Amino acid sequence: MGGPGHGMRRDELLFERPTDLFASSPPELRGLARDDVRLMVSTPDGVNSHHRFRKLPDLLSTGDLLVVNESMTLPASLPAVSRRFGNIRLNLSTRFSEYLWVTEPRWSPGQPGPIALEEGENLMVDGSSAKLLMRYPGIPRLWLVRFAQPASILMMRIGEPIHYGYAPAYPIETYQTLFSRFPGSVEMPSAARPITARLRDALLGRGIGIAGVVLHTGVSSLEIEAETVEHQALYPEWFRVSPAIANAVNAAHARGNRVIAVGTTVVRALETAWIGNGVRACAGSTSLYVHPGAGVHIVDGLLTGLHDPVTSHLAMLSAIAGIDRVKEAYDEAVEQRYLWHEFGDSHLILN
Amino acid sequence: MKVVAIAGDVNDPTHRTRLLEETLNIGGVSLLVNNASDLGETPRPELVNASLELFRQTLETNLVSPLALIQQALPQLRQTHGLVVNVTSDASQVGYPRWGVYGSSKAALDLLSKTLAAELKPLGVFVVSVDPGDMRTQLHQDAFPGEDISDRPLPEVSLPFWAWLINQDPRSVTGVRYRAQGTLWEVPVTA
Repeated sequence: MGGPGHGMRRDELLFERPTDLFASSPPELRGLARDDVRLMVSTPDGVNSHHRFRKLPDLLSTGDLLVVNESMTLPASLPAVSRRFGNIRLNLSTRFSEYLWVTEPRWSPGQPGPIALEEGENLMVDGSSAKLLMRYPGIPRLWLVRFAQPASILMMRIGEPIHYGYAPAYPIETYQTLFSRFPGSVEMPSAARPITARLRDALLGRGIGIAGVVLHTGVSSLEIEAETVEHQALYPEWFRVSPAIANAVNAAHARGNRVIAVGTTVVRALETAWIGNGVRACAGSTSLYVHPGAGVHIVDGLLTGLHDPVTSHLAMLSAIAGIDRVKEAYDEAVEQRYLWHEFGDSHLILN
Repeated sequence: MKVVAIAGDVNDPTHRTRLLEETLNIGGVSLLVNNASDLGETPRPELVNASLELFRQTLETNLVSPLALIQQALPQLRQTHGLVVNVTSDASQVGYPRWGVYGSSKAALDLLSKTLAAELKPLGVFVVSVDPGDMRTQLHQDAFPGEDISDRPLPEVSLPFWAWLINQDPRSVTGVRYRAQGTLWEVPVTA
């Protein structure tokens, strides 16, 4: 992957962001509608402008196509007991089967590992065993785990939504969007969260299209650990681009209209489906890493949240807009006190 | 889980029969992985200088014996609705100089996999090819004698793929050629 010996350095994706800018609750609990969150728009000329999210239809053009993720969020964080370390959490990440998942063991929602777990060790989850098979190659914080009970049963009985130190767990509905249809994500594909039914109708009324792909998200908490951004290993995520959606995307480009991904997950799915002159219908598991060395081919813009320093998401944003534009936009977001994370504010990056 | 290893030569019909007697005793073979391979003559020759005798040996190990094992195992595979995996290489697709002996044996194996997938699907037996990618193995070292191959990953890099593959519905993967270290593990798209 990537070229030999050159590429973006890890520290290029560092930036300062005060922790009081973490959104700890959804806008509905802050007295706002979902579409009342703020929206920063970054245009190719380097200008960042500030709006309410519900102004989105005015900021796009007739014929533009928004592509959303139709994956639904699961209660994928399980309490587990280790004989040596006591109560820990096991966050599910990628499903290989009902019994076999890539997982992230953590001390607690707020405290990641490392936990000195060993290959072959059994954790207890809901009274049955979860065997740690191996660390995921290239991503030592993740483990392949085999459960004695089907994971869907475990989630139904004792699962709660994955959450981190800055926010408590809310009811699972809090983590669904207007477009959530196919269960499978362990973290909310949150970019479409501010799109309400009235806003969807306004977009469609303006002749702005909305199409859905599916990509089941894994855990998002991974910081890039490799010194060179391009050398970070990523784990696979299940996705589907249907024939109808591939046609809609290609037709938008043929008309000269823009294709705007709603979320980094949509970029990953569409770029996986890229075949040189458009996208094709396809499905499976993708480990595609969209970074500046790989570039983007299919998306003309990305509607997303605000991402943490040194994450693969930021590498993707840099592939779309260049690191300098991303950094300027993020500086401005901090200055304007935008809110970070899945319940926070939004960012539309246009190319 | 009990693991039994039986060492032998896949080119030896007696060994193949012995393997299948053992699998029959435990309910029939449900996953047959043909990964025994012969790199061929070393140092790897250009094709015009290759020993034809050694070329025939490579074809025997990499192409004929896998088919022999599949033929012999077919009654069991029909019972178990089993999956056959033929291990291949990027050398089968590219035409790298000095990789023609090994590469052409693997190219033929790829077509064998694809053809068998079409022929055996009605019988409920499924076939894929898997290119595991460059790995730090003895065969890889033999291909690059005297070179430092420590930058290649150990074979466990491919384990997530194998875990993924054996958990797929075999009907949905049959006929596909996979790259275990690739960025896409594809299945047919449903509307």
